[in-house]
Amino acid sequence: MISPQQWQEVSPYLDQAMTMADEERSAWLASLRQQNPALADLLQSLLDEHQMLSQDRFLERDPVPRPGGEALAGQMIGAYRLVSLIGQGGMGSVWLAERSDGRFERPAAVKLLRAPLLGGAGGERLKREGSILARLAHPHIAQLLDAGVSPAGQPYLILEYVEGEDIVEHSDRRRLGVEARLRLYLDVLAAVAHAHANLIVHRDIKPSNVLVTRDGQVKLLDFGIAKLLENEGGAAPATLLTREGGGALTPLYAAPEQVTGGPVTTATDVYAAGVLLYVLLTGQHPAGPGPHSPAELVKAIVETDPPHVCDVVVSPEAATEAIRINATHRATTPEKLHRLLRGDLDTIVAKALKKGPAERYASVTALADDLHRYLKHEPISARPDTITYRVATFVRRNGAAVLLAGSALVLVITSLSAGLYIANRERKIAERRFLQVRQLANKFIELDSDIRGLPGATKVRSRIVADSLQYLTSLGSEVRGDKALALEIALAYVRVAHVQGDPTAANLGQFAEAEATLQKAENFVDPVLATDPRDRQGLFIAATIVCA
Amino acid sequence: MADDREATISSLMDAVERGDAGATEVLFGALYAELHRLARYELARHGFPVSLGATTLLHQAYIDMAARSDASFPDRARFMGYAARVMRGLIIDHSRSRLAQKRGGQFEITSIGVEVPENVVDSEELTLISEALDELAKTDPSLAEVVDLKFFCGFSFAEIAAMRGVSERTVQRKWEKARIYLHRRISSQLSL
Repeated sequence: MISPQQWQEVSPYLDQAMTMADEERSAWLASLRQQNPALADLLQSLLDEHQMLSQDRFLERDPVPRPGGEALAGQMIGAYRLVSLIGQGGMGSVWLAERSDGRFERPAAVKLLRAPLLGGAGGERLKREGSILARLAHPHIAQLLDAGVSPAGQPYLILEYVEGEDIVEHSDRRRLGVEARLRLYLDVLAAVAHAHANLIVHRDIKPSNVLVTRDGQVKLLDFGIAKLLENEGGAAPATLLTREGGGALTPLYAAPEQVTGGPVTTATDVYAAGVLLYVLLTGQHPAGPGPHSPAELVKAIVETDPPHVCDVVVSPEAATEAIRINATHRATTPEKLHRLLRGDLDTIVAKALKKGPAERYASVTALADDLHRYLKHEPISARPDTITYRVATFVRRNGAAVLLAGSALVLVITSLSAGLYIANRERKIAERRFLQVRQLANKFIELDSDIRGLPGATKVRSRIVADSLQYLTSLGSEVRGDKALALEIALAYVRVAHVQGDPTAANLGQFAEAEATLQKAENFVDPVLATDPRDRQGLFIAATIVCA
Repeated sequence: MADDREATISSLMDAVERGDAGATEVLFGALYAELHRLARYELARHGFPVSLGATTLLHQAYIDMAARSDASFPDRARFMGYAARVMRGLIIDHSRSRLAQKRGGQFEITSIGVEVPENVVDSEELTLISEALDELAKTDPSLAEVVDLKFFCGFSFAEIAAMRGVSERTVQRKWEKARIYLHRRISSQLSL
């Protein structure tokens, strides 16, 4: 036993002892014993106890059983026998497996997916889409071998087993310089380009999905699997925000369109590849040093232009210690790293990380081409941001902000009195209120992502929809030829329709109502297009209505 | 109704931090009810026995409660400090009643990690650990908290470090110290 007083006395010595190497510690203990023999004895016995309890695995077993952790070893999944559990996450468990008929020597990784992720016809789809993914063969892509549902109803994926560490860890541990990092990274882009050529988007490129094997081969994991899982499980942003695989609760590598619920395309992979490049080059995340709350992260992804890669490696904001370590990991000094990243590499990363998908590199191949040019000291295709360029993009970004405001609008309404706008027919006041709505909107984006798919969300969302429609109706009478307002209202209607009955996301099942709401959206877009048939935003919204 | 409850939790945390001993019990009672409700809800939603990760449940509880509350709701890191301690109670109760509940619609609360599972700690040992932890919390609350977060709730060192704004090494050292303390306190009562 040990009394609280004894513990308090010995505690700081224990801290000290635990940071020492064995030899140093025994010398230190010996000198302590001369001053305070009782304390030294207690300390020695605690250190001995530490040795012992490590062997006992004290507190290393689980307080309660893990899901599916028991008794699965030895079970057959497809043609494979489960050998041992490799890992667990929110999506399910991953097992090391071997082929039972001895046809293949190489082991495989079997992912057992949590059953609720795939309900009803999910099994069929898993098999169908799995067979498409299985055709994706590339030396830098971990092959999907099989996908399906076991006779016992357990959905599974069988993948090539890759033993390696993630690309960032690998590069840091080996002290790879910038050029060596770029060469590894180009292998990643080659794999992604191959998949894109086969019309498969990865959707979840991040260091833990990019492994480097012991012989230095890059392997991308989980190609297209994010999509396989998310359609059945609920809306994409909710999945990204709440997924627990490997402790990742926040969409650190998500593109703006994934956060705001926009269409996911190959440009989404370009963005995630850009974040990966940023981290590889600087050792820091574009959103700045964490930890980030989901709300902060969403705001950073959607609104904030990341700092230049050349600046964050010397910036005084971050701890100097971290800056120095990051440079050491790249076999250089902070100053040299700064000079190396300044200019072309900075421009290349910034282009991959543009908020608007259309402003990014048109393909991962285009990104790779620029990196090849950089390595060969040729002029790159991307242009650095100038003042005029920035102004132009600001206007374009405002377009995106309008879109965002629309998505969040529906959530803002509950906090604002719906009658506010009816009472105030004064144009200027309405405009000011409208700006307030936009400002408030940004705060509510996080809420939308958070509540979607969560217990109790349906009721709240229904109420929000009802309030929104009422509000939009009254706001509609304010339009009087104001094009911007008309389009903003149209977008808001489209967003409401999504919540009511978007078949590809968590919806309220009000499909007829959704149709009627879309009709209203159209009523606002049509007059704008009638006066200006080439109005880009009007065309875009019209296209969105057709697609919805 | 729900809003009142969240406001209470938020102000209860303030009271506890001001040193109001009476508030501690009320706060833990409220959090216990909330976590238990959420676990039950998950069970009902799936309609069959489900496995819930302790960390998942805590994160969900946070999102759930923060969404129903106003801006003054505590941040995630602060919330987890209290909720993890409550989770310990839920897990021990669950461990005790697990055998009794074997049939029917029971729910499983589980830890999520990346290590290969071995056998499980029995409920008697859990109770001893918990009692020793309460003692430790009086002299060294940050050590006790690491045990709640890691052992009972399954958070990783990295996650705990991020929550507390300290290095992973610091968290790891706290964890090792706590293990030594707990082992010293309870080993005589256990036939290890």
